[in-house]
Amino acid sequence: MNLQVVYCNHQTARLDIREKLAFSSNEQLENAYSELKKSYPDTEMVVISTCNRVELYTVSQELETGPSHQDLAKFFSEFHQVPVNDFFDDFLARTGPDAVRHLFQVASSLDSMVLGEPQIVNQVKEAYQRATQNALCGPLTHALFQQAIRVSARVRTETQLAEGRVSIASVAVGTFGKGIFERFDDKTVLIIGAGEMAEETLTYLKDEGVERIIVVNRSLENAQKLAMRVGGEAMPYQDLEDCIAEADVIVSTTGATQPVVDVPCFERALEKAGNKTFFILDLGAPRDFEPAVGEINDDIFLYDIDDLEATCENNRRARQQEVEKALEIIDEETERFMHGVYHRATGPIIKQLREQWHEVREQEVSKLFGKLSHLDDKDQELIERSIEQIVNKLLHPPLEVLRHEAKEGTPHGLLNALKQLFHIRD
Amino acid sequence: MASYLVAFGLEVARFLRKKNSYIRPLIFLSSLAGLVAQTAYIFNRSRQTQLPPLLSSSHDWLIVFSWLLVAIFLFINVIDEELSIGLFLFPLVLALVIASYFVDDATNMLVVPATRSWAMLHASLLVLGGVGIALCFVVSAMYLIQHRRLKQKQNFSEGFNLPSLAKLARLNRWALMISAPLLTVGMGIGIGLGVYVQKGPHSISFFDPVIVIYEIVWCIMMISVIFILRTKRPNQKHIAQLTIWTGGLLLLTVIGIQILTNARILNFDSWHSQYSSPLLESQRSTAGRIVS
Repeated sequence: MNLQVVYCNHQTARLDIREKLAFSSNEQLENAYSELKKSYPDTEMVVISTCNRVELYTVSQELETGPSHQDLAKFFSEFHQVPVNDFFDDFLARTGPDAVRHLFQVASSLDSMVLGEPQIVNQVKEAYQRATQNALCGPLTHALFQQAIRVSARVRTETQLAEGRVSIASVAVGTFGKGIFERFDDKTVLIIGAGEMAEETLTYLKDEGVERIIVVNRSLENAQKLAMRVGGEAMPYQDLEDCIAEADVIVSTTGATQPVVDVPCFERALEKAGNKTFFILDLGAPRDFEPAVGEINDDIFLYDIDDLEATCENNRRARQQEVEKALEIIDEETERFMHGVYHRATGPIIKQLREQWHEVREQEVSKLFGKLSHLDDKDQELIERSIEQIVNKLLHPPLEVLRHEAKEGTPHGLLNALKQLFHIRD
Repeated sequence: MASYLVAFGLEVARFLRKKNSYIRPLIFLSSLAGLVAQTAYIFNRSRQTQLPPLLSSSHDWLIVFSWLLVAIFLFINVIDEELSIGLFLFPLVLALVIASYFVDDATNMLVVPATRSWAMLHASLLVLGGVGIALCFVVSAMYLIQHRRLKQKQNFSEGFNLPSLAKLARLNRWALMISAPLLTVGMGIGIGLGVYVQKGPHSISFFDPVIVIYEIVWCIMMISVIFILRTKRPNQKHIAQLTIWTGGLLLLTVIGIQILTNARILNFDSWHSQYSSPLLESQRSTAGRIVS
């Protein structure tokens, strides 16, 4: 069994690299899965692609059949048309227990920009479901991702990691938005995109007193659905410039591969709006706003995902104590999971070996009792128990070595040797 | 002054060392101690001179100015304990207290019973207008720092909290709108008093450098106020920059010119110094204070 994760995230790579490697739409992800399946049919796979990370988990039974780190880098390069050299240094890999620990940290939001943010576990669940729908999950990925979701719940319950401000939007509004505006109840909020992030941001802004909400989406139907849920007003995408002119706060979370608002577009909106203050949260990856929009004048405050890093770092420091506790839980769960994995690999061999030897014991004991018919039941029982103990004692050293080796990883060599020596078949 | 130095030091410590539950009460207590000591000093001075503190001398006028700023600091501290306004106000308070050592502390001879009420109104309006301008200066400095932080997408340390840009812009506008008429009326009364005094035994020159410079700075400030009032949707950053320059200029010149004329560094006679204290006595007292 070969478990591996290749990834680039907000800690390892800049936003422009992540933008290039991200699967920004479901269609793009389906295509990626389809190509991966063709290239590596015997490999279990799950892709997690969010604004902060792109991760691909692979599990193959044999080392030779699964893709290597280089193979996957080549796949990303060809799929996204990005030279490998542009991102390989930021494209890391982990294997075995390290890969498991990494997923548990991601699902528990220890690897997020904002510690304890609740979104990531839903994104992990969604990624797992999508891989399952594409028939790319196998026994190990099922076990791994289900365990990751359980670990996330345990961390949330047993630590205070999720207390206080946790989502990117709430940190952005709390730290930057409140530095700009005195109050939000007289502000108009424009949401571009209708994803989960937009909805969470809106919920937070409504808590701050926002009353007027405009939702703009390429799909008017999606915009209407979100607007209905949050008590806002859906507008057609063609009216984007007018909506920008009306807004004070803009939250953009589209999955567009190109910026949806560039400098000329914003300048046209400014002509309609006049001189007023704009607070723009560009939470999309790739970015929805051209960075130069923030330089148009002194009253435009534009923040993208990377800009929130410093604030998140402060948050992280404040919760350091909780991180220690969470890491202890994750280490414990990783060990338990790996033990389960190794047990799964060695278990059938141990079982077969035991059954085989005890079958031989039973056969030989039956033969012996056939020859010694004068023995009473008590003597037979004593002899039977004695031989059983001899078998168990003989089995103990090899099985103990096998268990010991399994703590470090699947002992492929030892398992093969046992199979050959004792004629054990899979 | 020691209490204000301690309070300022603690504000700096709070800024550098982030949140500490002990620092804030210490800042409050040391400021309060300073205010109580200053109140007692003003009270004693007033008893000695038999004049209200604002009228007795330029020294007392500056002491009252700084006293008002500390009182405002304590009031704001009670309303919003997290606000880092002390970091901006205490340097001003210390500058005023230090400046008061270099200006005349001899009793004002020009205040006669017939004009005392008008003189009191003149000095009060000027000191209140000055406090308003000092607040404009502080609020504008806070605005520019907050604006820079937000533009550069930085996070302040936990011990450094500033209000929102919108609130700072609103406060700046109000402070400016209130202090401009106070200074205007105060200056008008001062001119009226000058004309009145000229009819008496004292001859007063309207080319007094304190008056001339004050009038120039007042004109600059009024142009700024008119510009701000006439602009429908003003650029708040430009207003803050304008305010910080005009407010800073006004504070610097009004205080600076008094120090310069009292210490005879500028060879002008000013009825804000020379007449209130004869030249020799003034030189002696100022030099004596500097030496001590």
